[in-house]
Amino acid sequence: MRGREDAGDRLRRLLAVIPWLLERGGASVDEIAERFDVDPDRVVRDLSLAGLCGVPPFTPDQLIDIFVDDDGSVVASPGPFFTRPLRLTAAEGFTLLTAGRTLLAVPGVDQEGPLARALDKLARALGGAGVDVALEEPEHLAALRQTVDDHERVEIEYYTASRDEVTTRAVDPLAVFASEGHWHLIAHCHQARGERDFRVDRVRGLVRTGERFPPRDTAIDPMAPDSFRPGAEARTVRLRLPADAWWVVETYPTRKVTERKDGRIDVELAVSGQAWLERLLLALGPGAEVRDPGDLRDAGRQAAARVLARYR
Amino acid sequence: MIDRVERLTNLVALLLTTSRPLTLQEIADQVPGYPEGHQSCRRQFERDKEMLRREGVPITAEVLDGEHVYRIPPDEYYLPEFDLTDEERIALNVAVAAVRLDGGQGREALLKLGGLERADVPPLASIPSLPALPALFDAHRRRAPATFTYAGQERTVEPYALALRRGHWYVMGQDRLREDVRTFRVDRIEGDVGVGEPASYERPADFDPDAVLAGGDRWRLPGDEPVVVRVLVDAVAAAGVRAELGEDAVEETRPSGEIVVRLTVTNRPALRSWVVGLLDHAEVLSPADVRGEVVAWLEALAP
Repeated sequence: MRGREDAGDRLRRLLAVIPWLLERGGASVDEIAERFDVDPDRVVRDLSLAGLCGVPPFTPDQLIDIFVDDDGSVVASPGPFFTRPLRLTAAEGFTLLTAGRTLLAVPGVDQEGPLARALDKLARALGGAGVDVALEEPEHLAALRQTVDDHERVEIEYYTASRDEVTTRAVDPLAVFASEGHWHLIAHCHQARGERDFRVDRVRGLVRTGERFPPRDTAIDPMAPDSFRPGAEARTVRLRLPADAWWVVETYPTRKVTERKDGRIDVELAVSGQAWLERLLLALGPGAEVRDPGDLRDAGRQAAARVLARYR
Repeated sequence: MIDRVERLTNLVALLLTTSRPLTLQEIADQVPGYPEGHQSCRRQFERDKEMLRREGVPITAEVLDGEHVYRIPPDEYYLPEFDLTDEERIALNVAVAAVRLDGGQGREALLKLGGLERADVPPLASIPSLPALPALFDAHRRRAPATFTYAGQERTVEPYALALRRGHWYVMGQDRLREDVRTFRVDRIEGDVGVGEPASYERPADFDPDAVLAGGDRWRLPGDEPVVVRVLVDAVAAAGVRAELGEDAVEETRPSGEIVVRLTVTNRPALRSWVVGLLDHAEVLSPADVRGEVVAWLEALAP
């Protein structure tokens, strides 16, 4: 939090630093700057100011007992106020509990260690409230996380949802993370000759090759939304949906949504593969039409015919 | 000219330590930096009060003998003692570094808990954040009813739990209107969440979010007779279906890698959508009428 700050930011920081200092008896300006993420000269300015604050008659026993020395150290003694920090706001408490519970939900994380204890104390201090986080646990998650750490090349059998097929490929695992409810693997794919984002729950098989690859950073930001990650080619499809199909608009990122006079709904969607479109069309049934592009107009009928073959 | 932060700090110190609530005049007399003149003094105080409230400082205002009086109750201001060891504090720092929550206040929280520790941890997870969540959490922790608009209707719920499952947030609790426990997807809450009177209900001791979520599962609609449906899934889709439905749903695993899953269904359209969504990797085996319904649906698409 460097740069422009308003009085609220400075006050908030003071209300956190003062109790910390009073409890420890003091610290160096540099340590305070590092721990509270603020420039050292700001520390000096704000703490010097704090030393002038208190209540009437502003005699020494009624002032905040903080003294900033010339040699870059700060000395403090407890007094009648600011003995503890300001309580956590709802948003702060929620963030801490959620971050903590999420980390605990990662397979392999110690369920009895300092994090678990910290969260129990925090939950009690917040009135017994909790946040319950569960992450999916795909079969090959632990192995893939290990190969990221070991910089070990692997061969994966991967189900590509957009093409509805399983292929085998050699990849160099670079990072594993959870986003939007699923675990992802960012890896350099030797077949595609570039970095790709794989869903760990679609890895059907894994063989560790024992070959090491030179460590490198991934160019992909793990936290960027799906649309920024390279993957199958996305095509824009225009659909006309039956009047009761608003769930499509609510569930998928549709664009240019227009309700027609007859109640049907025209939408535009980016579709990342034939199979995805087929699933949607089969779920919607005969009332839905592909208006555009021309080569996909028959996609629903063809998919239905293929599935019917199983029943005959 | 008194620095605003100096005045604010003095104001907080005064209102925290005062033995009784104070009037604006008493505050102006004891906190250096308020302007002369009643109007400008009041205006400045209102701005200061607003800023403090925004920072989470609990200033109470009441009317006593016809005058507005103010104080900060210490038990509402101070963070309760909860004695984190250094190890535990570092663990929280690691969690905040490893888990990204958009709009999260992790950094601000850690500053109140003894400052930031360097945590060289690559980001491990990103959790969706929604505007309604902090308010729902506030209601939940204070045992206050939460009011919000859902599917166009106003609902009042006593939150028993907030849970994240498969990337979606759910709030579960006693719905006062329906007089029953209900589950809501937080991303479908429209607008703001109102938080009512604290301590107005008790949270049940053994509330299990998963039991409630499973109970409201998508194959069931209340009122219809349940039917047992068997679906054959081929080797390509078997792993995904097994993970989605759980081992309990798998009745048979064949050497070919195909599996047969057994589902209890009243919501036949939902079942049909799910089966056809597996494309040519799955077919309904039995009962005959459900299999017939799926065939009829497909024939309408491929006449």
